[in-house]
Amino acid sequence: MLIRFWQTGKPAISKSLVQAFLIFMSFAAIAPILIIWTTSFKDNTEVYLNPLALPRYWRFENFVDAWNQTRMGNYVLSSVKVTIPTLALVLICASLAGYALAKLKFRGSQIIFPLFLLGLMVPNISIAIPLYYTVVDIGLHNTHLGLILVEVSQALPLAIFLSRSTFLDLPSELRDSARIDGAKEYDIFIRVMAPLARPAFISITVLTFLQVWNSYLFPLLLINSDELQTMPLGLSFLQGRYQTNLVLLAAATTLISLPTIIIYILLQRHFIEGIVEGAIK
Amino acid sequence: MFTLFPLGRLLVLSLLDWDGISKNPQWIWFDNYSAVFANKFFWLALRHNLWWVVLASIPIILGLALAVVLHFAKPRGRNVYRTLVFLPYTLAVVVSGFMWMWIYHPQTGAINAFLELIGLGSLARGWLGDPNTALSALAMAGAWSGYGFTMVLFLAGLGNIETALYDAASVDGANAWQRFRHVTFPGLANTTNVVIVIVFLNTMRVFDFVYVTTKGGPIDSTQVLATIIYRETFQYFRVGYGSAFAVVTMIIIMAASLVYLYLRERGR
Repeated sequence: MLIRFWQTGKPAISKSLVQAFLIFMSFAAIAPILIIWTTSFKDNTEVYLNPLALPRYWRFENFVDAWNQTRMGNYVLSSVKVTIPTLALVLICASLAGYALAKLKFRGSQIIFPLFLLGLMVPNISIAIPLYYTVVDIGLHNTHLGLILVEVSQALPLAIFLSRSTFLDLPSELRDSARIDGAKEYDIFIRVMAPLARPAFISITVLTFLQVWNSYLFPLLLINSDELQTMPLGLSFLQGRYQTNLVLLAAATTLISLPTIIIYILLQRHFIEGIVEGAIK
Repeated sequence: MFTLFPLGRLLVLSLLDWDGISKNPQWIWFDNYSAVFANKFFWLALRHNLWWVVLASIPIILGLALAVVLHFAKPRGRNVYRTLVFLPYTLAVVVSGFMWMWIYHPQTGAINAFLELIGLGSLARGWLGDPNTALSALAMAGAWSGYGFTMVLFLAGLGNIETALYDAASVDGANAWQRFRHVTFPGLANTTNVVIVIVFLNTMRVFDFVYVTTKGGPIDSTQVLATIIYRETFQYFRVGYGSAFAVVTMIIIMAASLVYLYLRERGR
């Protein structure tokens, strides 16, 4: 019955029902975030007295305390130091490899795809065991470089796949006509093909960013020292250390979640398209 | 390429008796595997994962409902809803895990405060501290970050259904339910498969969410396959045994996904 209402779009009651459902689900999605945000303005007794209410005084100093008393700045810096090189490496390798794979027909290209699908199904924890011992063997344990290499290896299969399928969709006449005009293979790639494949690169960037920025298991295994630790692990360390100082934790969590949320709101179309692309292709 | 070499090494490790440090690991071939199947934690964790999979149908259904509403009703502020609902999916697991530990907290938690408010204070409890509720509570928190994800996938799928099909169905006198049943649903078949497989995979290999919140406790009531593998390999240093565990888990996950996809393919 509801569906008929939606499709004819007439009766006002069903419209408001639909709106109510949407508002409820959107509210449910952001309520936990709002709870943490408001908590981070309270003081520690108020947290226990009325957990649901808005803070009586908005204590902005909580954020200053959280920043000064913890090594948050350090964690964020480490995360940036790992994320940016990973993104750069993934984009360079995926665009070149994707282009090469799209152009060249080579033996075994038939079995690559099923293998790739299987690769996507491997649990993180399973692949983490051999990767961990490999990183230890080559002496990169507890370095950002080791973590970057592992994150790149995790992001590349899907990235190469996305870039390959995009280059496959581009008409090869483009390449031929550029070649007739005397362009070199390198120029064709940089000036003609790569700009056209931009949407795929945006998807790759978004997927890789989320994977690396939020990565938990690999830093947990590969990084020991607190100075090198990335943001998710740092926050999880704080959760153990400041168990009783709930307000400080809430403020730290809020500060740490803000950059992602702001980036997401600004680029939300690309985020959603990137995720869909990565899942459905 | 990047998967095959580590996988090969994982297989080799799973045949060894190795503590991760010593120079001469012993080949014990398949003893690790028989030990896995004999371990009660394997079956416990598998049951927990499967229960989580059952509960993971909730975000799938919610995502489908939201996508259908957004797609057909075209309400004002469509993009705002989409943005908000998808937001949790982009948060780091440490952040969302922390939020939910807070919400389930026995003293400061929103859920208990809400139960008090509506006079059901007797139901209040430490949701993650109670072995009876901890696993389901985690699965609900997982559902929270998942329904925006399934929604955007379903929205993309709905966008691919040709509107001409609806017009044709209307001309043939199909009512709304019949149009949903015979046009929308088959049109979404591929998307649904993708969603089910992805949600299944993510649920069967969940690690971060459990590790940052309960670490498998209380009394192992939230142990899942991945947390057991982590414990055996990196805390108890039974690397060979942990690797065998990892191989078995991987094979179960892959086999189930492939069988599902095969059955769906044949059913059509």
